[in-house]
Amino acid sequence: MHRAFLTLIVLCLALGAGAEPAANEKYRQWGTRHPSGVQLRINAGYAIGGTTPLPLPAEIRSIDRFRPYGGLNVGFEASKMFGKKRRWGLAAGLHGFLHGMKTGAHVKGYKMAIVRDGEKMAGYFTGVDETNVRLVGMTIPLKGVWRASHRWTIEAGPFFQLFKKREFEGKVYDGYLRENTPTGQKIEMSQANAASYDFSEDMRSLDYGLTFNFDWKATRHWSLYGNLDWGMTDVFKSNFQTIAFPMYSIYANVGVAYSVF
Amino acid sequence: MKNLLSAALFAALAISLGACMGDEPLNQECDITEARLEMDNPLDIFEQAHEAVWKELEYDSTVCFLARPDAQPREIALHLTLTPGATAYIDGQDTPFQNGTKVDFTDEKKHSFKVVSEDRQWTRRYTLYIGHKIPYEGHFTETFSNYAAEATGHYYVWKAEGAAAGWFTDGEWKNGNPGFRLSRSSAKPDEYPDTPVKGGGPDGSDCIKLETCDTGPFGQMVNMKLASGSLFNGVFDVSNALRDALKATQFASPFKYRPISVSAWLRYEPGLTFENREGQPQPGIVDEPDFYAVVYRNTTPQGQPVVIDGNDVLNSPAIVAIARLPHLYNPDGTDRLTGQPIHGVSGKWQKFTLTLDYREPLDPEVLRKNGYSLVISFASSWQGAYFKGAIGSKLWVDNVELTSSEK
Repeated sequence: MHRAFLTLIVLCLALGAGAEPAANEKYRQWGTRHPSGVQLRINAGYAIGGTTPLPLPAEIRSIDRFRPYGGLNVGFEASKMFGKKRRWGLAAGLHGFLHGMKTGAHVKGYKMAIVRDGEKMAGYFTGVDETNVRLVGMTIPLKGVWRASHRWTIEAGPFFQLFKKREFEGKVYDGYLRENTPTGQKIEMSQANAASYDFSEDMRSLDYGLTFNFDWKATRHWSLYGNLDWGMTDVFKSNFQTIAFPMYSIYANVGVAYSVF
Repeated sequence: MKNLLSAALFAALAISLGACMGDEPLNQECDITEARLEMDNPLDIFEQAHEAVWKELEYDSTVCFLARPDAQPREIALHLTLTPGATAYIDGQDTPFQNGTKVDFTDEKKHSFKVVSEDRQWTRRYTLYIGHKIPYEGHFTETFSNYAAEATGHYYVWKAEGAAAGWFTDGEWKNGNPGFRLSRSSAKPDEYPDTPVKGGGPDGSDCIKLETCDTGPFGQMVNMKLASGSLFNGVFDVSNALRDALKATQFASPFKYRPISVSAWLRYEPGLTFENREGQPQPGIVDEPDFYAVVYRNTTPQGQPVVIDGNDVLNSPAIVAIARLPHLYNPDGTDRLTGQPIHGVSGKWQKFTLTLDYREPLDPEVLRKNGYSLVISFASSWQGAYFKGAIGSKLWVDNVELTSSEK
């Protein structure tokens, strides 16, 4: 019995020792061929997501409609793998994006304001709130890279976003506004005479957050990827008080990447 | 593919957001939406049975039932309808008011109520009482000298003078100023459509000026680019001002004596450019002022109240008499916009008398029960109800006089 056990351990070790070089060979085959361990990747994908408060405040009673806007994400990334086995590395890139959303939600006692050319109407709105968000800009991700297997790569790290164009506008209707406080003058609003708002000017031009990326190599050059860009800053400037809660940009991308070498 | 993906991702989003959607927040509002006196026979103290029910028409902290001048109400059971979840308290009491509790209304005794919202964070205070109608004399003269800034100081309000003080709703002349405040909150009191003119009357006393004003960016947003100056007796329901401005203007006061004529001193300057609702200039069209009086039956034979508003003030089937400044009309009866108006109001003060043209005789029994109402209305743009007119049109009004069959 004792002898049999020892034999098993030796066998396992032998097999393991034999498996290790084989795995390394696979990683090499599917990894970059560049002697420096640098890899350049071009990607194009579809982006879907939205700008949302988290957690969803109780004032938002239901989300009745959601339609993504645009949904383009193209860019390139360079990564450099380190160590003898080149399983770990760092990556940086540049992505251009055009994404956004259109939502229709039922809200109750939603604190808001409509501001136009110095005129202001503020209070608590109950009814339908329709929001359109359109964002165009660039993302710069800085990520740690881990090759989980010869085909799977997992990346994570911070990202920074610069907006070239940012729009946050919408309208409220089929309800009423209580002026200033819930005990204030009631102002009825219909769809024909909807009250519109535009907070585009109150949005930040810089955002940062965390990005998570999964990449699966179909061939040595082509891979499918999915990633999540989770904004960690309120999309509005800190002095913007009109909406009572912070809102974050959360977008997912799925697409195809091509590794140049 | 894209649609399929969108649908799938939306489903995922909806499920995840749905999962984190919190419980419905408790109501923050705390309004008395209706107050009802529970009486076997409301006609014991009221002229009309429906007067035992109060509904919030204007944003107001006073709940006032108006009984007959000779009525002597005592203890009456009261029923309040509140915002769901809200609780009413008689001031100074810790236990909530129970509907059906008898309340002492002797000698116009006023009761203070505190209504607390379901979330207990908000409170509204009300004063509730049974007042008495002031016997209507059938004749009044109004000089527009009794005006003041309203409570928040945004715009002016005009208290009715003489007999009209007890006769008009809240004892006030109404106008669109409260609606204008919603669209142009930055406007100063003198920039509102209705403003007083000190010493501007034909006799050197104060008068009132009605001016058609630009409603600014908010007005454009809700497709109401201009606001005509207006002046009338009745109720202006601000809550509907942006949704349905015509409905917001609810006309008239009931009377007991047959109105014969209404006269007023008027002066008019049309604005430069007549615009249609879309704000496009209409060359060749000149803006016109309006001044009319309408008598209508304010209660159906079944006892239901009839209120005419901006939609039907000139064409409701309830109308029994009408008088109006002359205008041109198309063969089909619709208003004809023209470059040569015939109203006759000029830049110089003149007295205009409108004699009511009765389509049917007044029923003495209906008259006795306050079943008819009279509307007196002025506007700086006769098409202002449809947001057509010339910005800058001005109508000055003074010395309005009502003559009735008695006294």
